[in-house]
Amino acid sequence: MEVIVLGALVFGIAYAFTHRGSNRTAIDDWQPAHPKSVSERGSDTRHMGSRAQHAAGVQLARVEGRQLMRNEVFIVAIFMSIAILLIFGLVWASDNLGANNSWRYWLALLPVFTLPFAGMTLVAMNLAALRARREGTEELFDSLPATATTRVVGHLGSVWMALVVQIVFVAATFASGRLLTNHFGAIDAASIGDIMVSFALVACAGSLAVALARWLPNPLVALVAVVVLAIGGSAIGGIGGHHWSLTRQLSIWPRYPDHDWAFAVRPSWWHAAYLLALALVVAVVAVARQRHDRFTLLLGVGAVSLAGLAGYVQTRPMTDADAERIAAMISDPVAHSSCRTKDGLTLCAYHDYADITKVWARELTSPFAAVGPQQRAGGFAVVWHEPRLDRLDPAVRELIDIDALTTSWTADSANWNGVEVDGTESNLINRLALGLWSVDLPSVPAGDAPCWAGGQARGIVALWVAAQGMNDDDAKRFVSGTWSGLRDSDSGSNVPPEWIDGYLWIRDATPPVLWSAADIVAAQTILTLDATFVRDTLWADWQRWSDPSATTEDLMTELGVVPAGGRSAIPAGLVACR
Amino acid sequence: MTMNDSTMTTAGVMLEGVTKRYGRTVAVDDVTLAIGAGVTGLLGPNGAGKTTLLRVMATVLAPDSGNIELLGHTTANAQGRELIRRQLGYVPQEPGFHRQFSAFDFVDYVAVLKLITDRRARHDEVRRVLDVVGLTSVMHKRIRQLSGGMRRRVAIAQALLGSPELLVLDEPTAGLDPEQRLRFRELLSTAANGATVVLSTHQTEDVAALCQRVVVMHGGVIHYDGTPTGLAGLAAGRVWLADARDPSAQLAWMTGDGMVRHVGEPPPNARLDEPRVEDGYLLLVGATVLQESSWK
Repeated sequence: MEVIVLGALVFGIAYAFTHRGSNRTAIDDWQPAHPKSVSERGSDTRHMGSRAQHAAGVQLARVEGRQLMRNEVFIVAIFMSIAILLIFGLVWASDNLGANNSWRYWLALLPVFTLPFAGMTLVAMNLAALRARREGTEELFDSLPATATTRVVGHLGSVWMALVVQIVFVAATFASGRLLTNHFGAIDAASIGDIMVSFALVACAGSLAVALARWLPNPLVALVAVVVLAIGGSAIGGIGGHHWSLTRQLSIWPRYPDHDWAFAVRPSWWHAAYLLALALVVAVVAVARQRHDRFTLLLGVGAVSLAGLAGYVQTRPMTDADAERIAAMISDPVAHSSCRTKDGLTLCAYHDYADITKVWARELTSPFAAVGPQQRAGGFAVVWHEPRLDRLDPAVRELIDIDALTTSWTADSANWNGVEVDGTESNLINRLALGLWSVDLPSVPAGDAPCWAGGQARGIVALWVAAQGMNDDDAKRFVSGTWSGLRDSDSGSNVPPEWIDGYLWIRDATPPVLWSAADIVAAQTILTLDATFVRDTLWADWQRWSDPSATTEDLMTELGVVPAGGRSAIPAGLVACR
Repeated sequence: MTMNDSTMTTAGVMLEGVTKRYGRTVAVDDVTLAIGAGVTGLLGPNGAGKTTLLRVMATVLAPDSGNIELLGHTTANAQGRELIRRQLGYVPQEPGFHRQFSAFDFVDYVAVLKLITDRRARHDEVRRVLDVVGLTSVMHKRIRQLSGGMRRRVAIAQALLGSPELLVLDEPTAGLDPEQRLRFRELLSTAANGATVVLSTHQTEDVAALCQRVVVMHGGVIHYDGTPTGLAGLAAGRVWLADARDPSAQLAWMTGDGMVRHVGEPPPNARLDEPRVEDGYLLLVGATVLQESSWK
């Protein structure tokens, strides 16, 4: 229904554009000094030369667009976009191999990455629109046949150059994503909508720049507007915090929910339509400074209606069908996943993210190959699921039993990899889960507390297995627990500081296992030994080294290494892993 | 003076009872004027109302009262104003420039606003007018890099775009060196061929050299409207050369050959000299201006 209404509105606006000549009342910039002249102006009808004015507006847009490329502020804006692309698109993205590096996530961030460029475009175009006033050419221009409205249209049209730059930015994002980083997953309609949103933001900035120049002709106003938009947009866009809120769609940049967006219906196309309608509203406001005729009024009414319709549609709750579809995906991830199995290693991710299993396979092949053959024969699986259930859309939450689902995952022997962790952590967690599984240590906590593996040889074996395939530096960082982000003081983990003797390897959750500091040193030591020698030693009696009774000292002695220290005492409140 | 039917059909500029006030100050007071083809000079002291009158003629300022017809079109409605502006060239008293633009880009920008929308034709026209004012060699330099005189020539160039039928020039030769002023006279006499040119200036030599007609304004009112020769003739028999300045002289100044030129009553031992335009102009308004400005 809304599409029909939208179509009617767009048709109406287009019709008004193409049939506006006969009823036009154009008002130029003749500045009368008394009311009598104002009333005389009102009688101006059937303004001639509209075609020439239109052509002049187009030419002016071309000229102003080219001038925009010489504007220092705009040039800075371009360099900012390049910097953003380099920092986030290449450096950051190449270091992230998880869900945050999916095309869906990446393209949804595109509007946010566009904001600095849009803000600077607003300032640059505002300066251009104020140029005649600033440099004293207004009097000359007032004596020329192009009306003030034509000049405004020319300035509005100069946004084409900013849109061309944005096209280049989007193309560069795609190219870098394809060629230099590990973006993966589907580019769905909502993602295309996100790209449209980024263009709509630039269009909004251009319209607002000209409108401000016409109504509040002071360059400082544009700067203030940027600040106000940043604060206001952020406030509205963040309504609801971590939880789902549709109201934030009314912001120019809504913050999408913290859970994976495969489980959200993102109305990005409607948001793009909403922003374009706002751009049109503001453009009409700019034109209305000089021209207040029926055409302008109709255009304004059409634009406001369009903005209202798009605003309404994008804040509608999701349909029952969508809620059921998402709830089914949440409840049964495997049924909605693409799985790959090779030599007993099974990796499953939702269909849209199937490509990430290739990354996982690269990471886990070496550790899996280091596991004792007997254990390996049983197979190991990683299944990707969404753990942030409390942040889902209410319509979805109503359809699932969060407690039951969490309990079932905890009790399940599969290795569940939640997508809340970013790429690096995701891979490390997979490695650790595999290492723990290889020696029968739990990969999920048995209760509210982790178990204590201090002094158990299998804890060291788990770390050795998990670090296989890494280079020496990465292995050392990994086993020391100093990998960026893995041992944040503000990690929000449920583990009391007095329990942490080894390292903490997961955030926002209770880890299944804790190590002693002495065992960490021991693990680092055996990682310096020849891998084949260690593997052969372990494989010779894998069952022994998987048993809780085998101690760190036993293992070190077997490998011919002097143990680093004595057995650490079990911290109060913990029990040894069984 | 009132407009009759014959002037209505031939004059490029017709003003009838035009008045413009700024607050309580009457800048232009009930001016009626018809100006035909050719160059008309507008003389007057500062604050005489010249610039206001020219701005009205350039359609950038609406009068408080009166009727204006330019090139056969009324300025009372937008349609008429657009038709006028298509055939109007205007150099404001203080023309602004887009300093970041090159001379070519700026004139091209004005050409777009003059509705010359065919790109190739427009560029040809821009190159033509820049060549006319002698700026071809620097047309791609940014305006901020040009001298004041060159900028003034840019202003003149944009006014010549499209060979307008009405040229309104407010002190166009200010800032030009003597050579450029002579060049300007040459191009204006060419441009004025069949066009109506209204020129405000303080340079009476320009008026004498260029104008077929001169209008002297003071206090928003026209004090003289006739030929430059007629204006000079007002001083006939009242211009004297003496060896020394007469202390009681109304206007007297030393000339380059060491003689003192007096305008007005004859000083002792003086001989009569040929009157010039500036003598007539000074006799008309000069004494009043000097008194008002307390120079004497």
